[in-house]
Amino acid sequence: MSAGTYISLTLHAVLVGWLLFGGDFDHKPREAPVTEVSVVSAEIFDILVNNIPPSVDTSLEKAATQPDIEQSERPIDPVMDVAPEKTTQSLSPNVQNDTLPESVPDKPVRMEEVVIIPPVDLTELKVEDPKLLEMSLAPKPRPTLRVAPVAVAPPAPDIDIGDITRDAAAPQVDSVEVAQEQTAKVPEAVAPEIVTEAEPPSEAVKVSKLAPPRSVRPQRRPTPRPVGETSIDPPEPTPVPIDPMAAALAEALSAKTPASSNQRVSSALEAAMNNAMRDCNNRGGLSSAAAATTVVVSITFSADGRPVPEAIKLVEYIDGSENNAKVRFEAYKRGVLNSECVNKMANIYRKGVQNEQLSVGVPLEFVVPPGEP
Amino acid sequence: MRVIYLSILALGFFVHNALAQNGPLRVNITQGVIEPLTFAIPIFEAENLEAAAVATEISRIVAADLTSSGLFREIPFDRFISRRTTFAEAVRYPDWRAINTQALMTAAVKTTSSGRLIVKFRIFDIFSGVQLGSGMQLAGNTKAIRRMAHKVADQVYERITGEGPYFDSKIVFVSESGPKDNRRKRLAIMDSDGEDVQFLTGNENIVLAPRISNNGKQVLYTSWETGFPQIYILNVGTAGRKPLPTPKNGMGFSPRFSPDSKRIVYSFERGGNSDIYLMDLATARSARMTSSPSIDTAPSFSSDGRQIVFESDRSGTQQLYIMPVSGGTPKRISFGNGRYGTPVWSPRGDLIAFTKQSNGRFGIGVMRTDGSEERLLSASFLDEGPTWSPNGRVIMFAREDRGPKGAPSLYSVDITGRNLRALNLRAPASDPSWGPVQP
Repeated sequence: MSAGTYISLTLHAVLVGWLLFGGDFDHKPREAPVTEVSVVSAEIFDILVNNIPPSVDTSLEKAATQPDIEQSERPIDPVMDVAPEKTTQSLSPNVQNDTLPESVPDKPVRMEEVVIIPPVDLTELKVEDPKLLEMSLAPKPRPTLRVAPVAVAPPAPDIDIGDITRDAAAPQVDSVEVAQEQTAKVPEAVAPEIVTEAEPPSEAVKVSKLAPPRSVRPQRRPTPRPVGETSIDPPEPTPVPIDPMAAALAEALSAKTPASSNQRVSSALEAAMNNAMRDCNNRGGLSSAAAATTVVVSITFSADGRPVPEAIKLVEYIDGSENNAKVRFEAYKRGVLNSECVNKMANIYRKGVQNEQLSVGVPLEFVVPPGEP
Repeated sequence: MRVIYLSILALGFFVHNALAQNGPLRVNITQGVIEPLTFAIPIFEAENLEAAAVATEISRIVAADLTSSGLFREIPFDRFISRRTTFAEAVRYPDWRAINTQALMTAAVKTTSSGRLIVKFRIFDIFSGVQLGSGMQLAGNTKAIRRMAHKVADQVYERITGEGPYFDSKIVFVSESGPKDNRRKRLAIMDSDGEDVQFLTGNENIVLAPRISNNGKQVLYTSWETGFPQIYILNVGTAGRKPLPTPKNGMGFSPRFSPDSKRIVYSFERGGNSDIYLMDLATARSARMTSSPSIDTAPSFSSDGRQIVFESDRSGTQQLYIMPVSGGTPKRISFGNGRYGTPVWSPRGDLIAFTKQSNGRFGIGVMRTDGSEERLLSASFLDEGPTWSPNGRVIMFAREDRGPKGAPSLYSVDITGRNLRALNLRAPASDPSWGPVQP
């Protein structure tokens, strides 16, 4: 055989060997192509994996067309027909993951009975002195004397500054004055130098032309209008009618009456109150139904702007039961009486009274809308 | 006459306007916060020596229950100013206001000669300075400490928030052990806080999808006890069980009780086709409810028992459908992107919880019964199998971590999407089913 035959045989042998055994030396795991076919629930997946489905039953179509009631293999026995050979056992506290006991439970599930009994022997709270209940046990600072019992001379200063003298400041002789480039195109509203009363006004910058001769603010405070007047447009002038009956009817029909019997405070005051009470309107500890209930809460404030606890009342509720409204009202009342909110609201209320938008002793009604479910 | 009429008309008009403008000023509250309500629970007073051992334990369970709801935040002991010594002692409101306590609970525990444990308690609204409602007391045997504590927590929770109780309830679930590719699964039951775990079955057979009845006495589940998947019904009190007879030549799975616990709906697979069936437990008769050539499964009754919701891929993708129990055409209610499964109707009847797969992640969500207002409450590598608390406020589900060592665990979340927290179980768990509040 020629050399070419040997070479050809060798190359073919290598090629055949590589085709047969080459894959075994490939250490990289082959990625199996995965195609998502369908998503099934875990239980169906387990059924399909752990059990071979039965063969196709031709009675399927029959079942679909037959009356829907199917008799099962055997009637159900109302009494459990399997003896309770497997019962229960408490999980040991020291059991770790994947080390559950292999033994079969040997005790039935414990079912203790708990009953609610009438509170017949609930003794009343011992209130010896009601004033004591409003006294806190928290430590209070000791009272201190505002005036020292004996007069004490002030302490001597550490440094006597009277002995230190300084020369008066004087400009340097050889200094060169550098002219600053002025870039401003409009006169400044403020004088560039200090002008005393002794100096002639001609040397001062004429700023009088720049400032208005007098304040643009009104000289007198405007008379406050009754709350709610702003929301009612003034009636348009109507021509004098000839028939007084027609005029009265026209006036009655054209008058704009408020949608509800209640007036709202000004938007600024409402925004301030909302801001002050934002942290007090806690909707977190409520049931879904209570949170979805709108309540209207009437609050009367004292002269110092603090809400009177006894005068916080539920006026009405919308979209909910009475019990849900009560829960919502109690939650809002708790927030209103929170000391932090009391202080914030007191400031706002006092300013409202000062501006004559609010009147002391007249209750405010707070409309608390639904929150999150 | 005309003048008189005009005068009356004008007078009425002015009186009306005058009255209208004299009403109280109104302020619309538009801002608020959502924060837990702060509460304080001093250690319960022990009225006799025997009760001293359990007084602390009960008070701690009550505090843990309330805190776990996400609606309450406990004030720690070291901030207390007032130290009450007896149950009958009056409350010093300023001391509790000073530490920003909104609600205070005081209680006393005693044991009787007949072996009964009695817990009595009061709730106070600190800022209003009043007692909330009247005091209450519970009685039980001395081993019912946990139940007594849960009952007390339920009363406080219900009184303050207005929401129905749920702490004193049981949860059935699948307790898992072993490696991920060879898990052993057994039924277990526990308190709502994850404590007092007791097993209902051994771990020699695989069990799936337990569903507890609305009376809390029975559990439906699927088991491979006979080597073939079959629906079983188990008595919780005795742990006795029996297979339910389903139609021949197929396999039943995914059962669920009706609200009156007298009927069940389940999936039945035959010839690669799954449909929904309804079984009357008294007669063991099954009625076929759906007959589409698709996978219809995971049925769940509405709270009034008149409708069911289930998942089906009849439209090409997994979606939710509702239909009357009496029969009729299923109506599709889910139309969002992704796949919807394992729907569960809320006990309140207003929402449906579901598992949603979208963008490679699984999440738990809720929607109205007409499919509107869909909201996702959680999302992770795998969240599935939601179940409702008895009051319809909390949803529990199973979350599994990614990777070969990933193990399922149980989580709960408020329906607002807040307060996502893991149950402190000592073993992997899945497939929770929340039972009713115990009587």
